[in-house]
Formats: sequence, C-alpha cells, structure tokens
Amino acid sequence: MPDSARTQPKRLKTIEVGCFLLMAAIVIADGLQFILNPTRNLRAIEVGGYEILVGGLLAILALAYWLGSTPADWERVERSRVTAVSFGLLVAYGLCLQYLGYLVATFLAVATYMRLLGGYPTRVSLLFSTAFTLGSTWVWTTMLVNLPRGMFSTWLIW
Amino acid sequence: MDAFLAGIIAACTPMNLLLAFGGCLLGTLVGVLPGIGAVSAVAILFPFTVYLPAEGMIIALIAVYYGSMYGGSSTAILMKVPGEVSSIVTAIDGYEMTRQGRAGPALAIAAISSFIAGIIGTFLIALLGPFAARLALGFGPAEYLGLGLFSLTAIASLAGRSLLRGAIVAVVGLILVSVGYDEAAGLPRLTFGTNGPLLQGLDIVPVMIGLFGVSEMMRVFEEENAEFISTKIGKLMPNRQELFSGTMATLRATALSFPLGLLPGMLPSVLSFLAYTVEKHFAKNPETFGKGNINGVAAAEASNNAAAMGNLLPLMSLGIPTGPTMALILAALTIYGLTPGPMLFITQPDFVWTVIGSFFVANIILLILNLPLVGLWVRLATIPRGILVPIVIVICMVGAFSVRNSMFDIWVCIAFGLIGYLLQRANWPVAPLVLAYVLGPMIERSARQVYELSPSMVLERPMFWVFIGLSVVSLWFSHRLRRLIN
Repeated sequence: MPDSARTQPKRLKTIEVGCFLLMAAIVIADGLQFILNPTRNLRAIEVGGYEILVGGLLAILALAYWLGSTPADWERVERSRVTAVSFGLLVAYGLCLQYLGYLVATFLAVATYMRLLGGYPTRVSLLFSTAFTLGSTWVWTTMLVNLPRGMFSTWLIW
Repeated sequence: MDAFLAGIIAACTPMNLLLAFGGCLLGTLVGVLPGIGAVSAVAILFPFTVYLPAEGMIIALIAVYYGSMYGGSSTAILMKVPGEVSSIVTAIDGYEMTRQGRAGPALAIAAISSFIAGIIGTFLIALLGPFAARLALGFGPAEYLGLGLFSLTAIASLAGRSLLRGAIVAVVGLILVSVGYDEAAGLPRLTFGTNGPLLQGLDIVPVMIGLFGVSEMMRVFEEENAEFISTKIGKLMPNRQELFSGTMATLRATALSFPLGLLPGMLPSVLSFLAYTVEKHFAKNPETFGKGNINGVAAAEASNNAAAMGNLLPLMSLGIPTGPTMALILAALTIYGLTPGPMLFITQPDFVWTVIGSFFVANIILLILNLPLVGLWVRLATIPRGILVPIVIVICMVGAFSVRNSMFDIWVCIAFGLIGYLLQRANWPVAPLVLAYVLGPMIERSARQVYELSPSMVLERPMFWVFIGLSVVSLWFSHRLRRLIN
C-alpha cells in the first residue's frame, strides 16, 4: 500500500484509543463485581482477578499507544460507499435469514448483490439467483447441513 | 520410520485419498479466487468438514490448506493476483516470467519447489514430532503458561508493523475469548447479566469466518480490477540449468524456513519475504531478481511450504498453534475431543501418523493435479466479483450457522466481518487476535493452576524461564527482521 493511499489524522488515533479504553473499562468493571462479591463462589477472585489483569493490560497498552509516536494508519479508500452498501446488504441478509429462512433470504440477497454491486440486469440477476438458491439448497441438504428456516419452517421439507 | 510408512499406507485408503484429492481440488478452487487466501479458504470450508470422521476432517482441512496455497501462487504468477500475502513474493518474479512468455516454467518450478519443501517438511515432522512430544510430556502448568506467553508475544511482535498494535490486538483476543460461561468457576463473564446466547461464548468458527472470509469479501469491491495480460502458458518444464538452480534455491529456502517455521508468529507470509530477501542477498546476480529470476519463484514457494510444515510440528506435538490456520485446525481437533499435544502421540498414534502420512500424500496429489489443470484455474480466477461475492457470503453465513445451528453465530460472523475489515483498513494485525483466541483458555487455565498450586513454583521450573527468555529473543528478532525486510 503506497503511503499516499494512507491517512494518519490524530482524531482517528483518539477514536481507536477510546474504543480500547471503553473495552478495558467494561472488562475491569465486570471483574470488579466478582472481586467485591467473592463469597458467592470460591473461584470468583480468580475469575475477577484475571479480568482485571487483562483489562488493565489493555488500558496500559492503549495509553502507551496513544502517547507513543506510532500514528494512526488508515487506508484511504475511494470506493468506501460501495463497502457501506455491501455491509448494509450483509446485515439485511442476516435479518432475512432470521425471519424468512435460507431459501427466500438467499434468493433476495444474491439477486440484490448482483443487481446493485455487480451491475447485472435485473432479469439475469433473478435467473442466476434462482438457480444458485435452488442448487445450493440441494447441495446443503444432501450434505445434511442445517439451514436457517425462518417463519416458513413448517412448510419446508428439510 | 515404520510408523510413518504405516501412516502413509493408512492415508492411502480410498476414503482418505478421496478426501485429500477433494480437499486439494476445493482448496485450489477457492485459493485462485481473488481475495481469498489460505486462511480464508480453511475458515470458509471448515464448518462443512465437521460432518466427517476426525481423521478425514483433518486430512481434508490440510489438503484444503495446501490446495489454497498453491492456488494463490498460480494466480500470482499468471495474473499478478496473489491469493494471499505469502504469494506476493511469488508474484514478483513469477509474473515477470509470465510477461516474458515463460509462464510454464514459472508454474512448474513453483509446483516442484512446493513439492520438495513439502516432502522434506513431512519427513522432518515424522522425525522430530515424537521427540518434541516426549520433551513436552514433562511440561506442567508453569511450562504451558510460559509456552503460551511466548507464543502470544512472538505472534504479537511479528505480525504487522508495530509491536504495540500486535500486543493490543492480542489482549483484545484474550478478552473476547473469555466471554461466556466459565466452566471451571461456574460463573458467567462479560454477559451483562443476560441468559441468552452470550452465555455460550463466541465460537471460534464464526469469528474466523467473519475475520477472514466476510471482511475480505467486503474489501473486494474496493480494489481496482487486476491487470490481466493475455496468458500463454506454453512449454511447461524449465530447462536443466533452471531446474538445478531452482532446486538449489528450494533447498536453501527450506533449510531456512522449516526451523524458523517452528516458532510462533513465523507464518509463511513472513518467511517467504525473508527467504526471498536472503536468496537475493547471496545471489551472484541480485539485479535479476524482480525481473523474472526463477530462483526468486523457487525460494518464495519453497519457503511458503516449508514454513507451513514447520508450523504444523508445534501444533501436533505441543498443541500450540503458530498461526491462524493452525488455530483452526486445533479447533477442528478439539471438536472431536482430541487435544493436540504430547499425549496425542501416545493415546492416538494411528491418528497422528495417518495425518502425517496424509501430508505426504497431499503433496503428491497437488503436484499431479495442479499443473494439468492450470488453464481451468486461470479461467476460474476471472469470475466477476458481482457473482463471486454473494456466493462466498452465502457460504460464509451457512458455515457460521451450521456449527451450532444458531442465528447468534451468524450475527457474530457479521460483527467480526466488520471488525476484521476495520482492522485491515487501519493496518492493525489480525493474526494476534486469532492466536490469543485459541491460546487464551490455555494461558488462563495454566495461570490458575500455578496460582492454586503455588505461585512460587515458577521459580523452580527452568523451562518456564526458557520460554520467557525466548519471548524476549522474539521481540529482538522481530526488530531485526523488520530492518532486514525493509
């Protein structure tokens, strides 16, 4: 990756460190609740102590990184909008899998990916998606792989 | 040696051969696809191997690993599209040879070098594995704690450009793996008082699929289309002088990379850079490197395979994964209740030797399989991204779901896809997170045992201090290595 394609603003480093410190605080707090209430389980101190140790280590390392000379080093991406759309589609696919099941969700997801990000005509996308969904369902069921069923679970034969 | 031969014979049963063949084929198929490296290939295909018996599962995974490494090299040579980081070095001279109309010899020397390094590596594993296992039999909690800390320090210091970043990511991995119900203490950790799926913890399979499979697919659309030149493979075999010179480079790279590959953090991607740099440094004509020198291709490929074999030895004999792929194979073994380490050689010798025998068989299958099919692999590598991405995403989601039949794992996979993507964009190493994820429970368990027995016991265990000393050496070595490569 050439240097011109990277960006190193201080603000990004602060955000990075902030995320790690927040995580460290959550872990230490979780560990403290075991330490402060040790009577309920003999091993609570071990469990809490480990969490405080690891959380404290993360906080120290994050602060050392913040104070040190290593800059934030983010890759500058021209087509980040495409990635955002791609991730949005992924989340939508996850939701569809949960509520509509594999068959419908995969048909919709593949067709949408091909149409929106691949630039294929709608008819081609729908045809390919139908073929892929039916074909892959056959492969998974033959391999005895379980699939999300969604709300149509009672209608499905596998 | 008898046990090794018995292992090869056991690996040659029709079922095992079929699995090795299928694994090599599938691994190469996935490896040639743009943006999918060996780790991603193993991560994506891993859930579908859990339906096999333990032996078959490991054989298939190893074959997928080998196949995907070879697939990445083919596209690196022919199209300058490295399937993974370690193939970047192969592309330097391999692609130049293709431009000069010598794609055939480049592909052939890549296959031959990989084969030689793989076979030498297999013999060394067969030779050293039982010895290392016997050594590890005397290990107690203090030694395992030292070994775990050394592995983690080494991977954190060697992965990526900054030690501090590696260390932070490793600690994050330790935290994430501690989420869920702690069985030793009977207490829920980091579950925020919920009784939901968080109690089961974050399974390594959706985590790995997210980090390596999904995140790569999110990046695919960002990259410019690769420059494809009209590839004519032509004559396949290099001439006698090139073959001799390439073989010598192969032997040098193997001698360098296998012993270094035994150390945690010394991944094939790191060592292929190192072997190439060393080969160039000591060459009579260093100016020809980068302009189509066959020794450059041979050194990179041999190093890649020798390091991969070196990585397998600590996994089999000590139960210590040296990289993300080994972490997945470790996870695969634990699914069957098999704990890699010294006891595996004693309690399951047939299993161990069959797996080692399968390394040998997989290397031969790869050599036979891939050269004739290279034209097919090139055509596969040109699959448009608009079709490739949704297909891989679907496979990733099904894989994440199928391990525990849980929608929660799909959401874990998606979340780790985003985390992996952000880590890559911010130039943070991912490998320490995965290693910490696998080593975390062992480190914590050993630390607790030391604490319960007597914390002062570490003073009486010299091996603990040897590992702590090795941690310091790895920090120094990573500093020197970065200077050498840069």
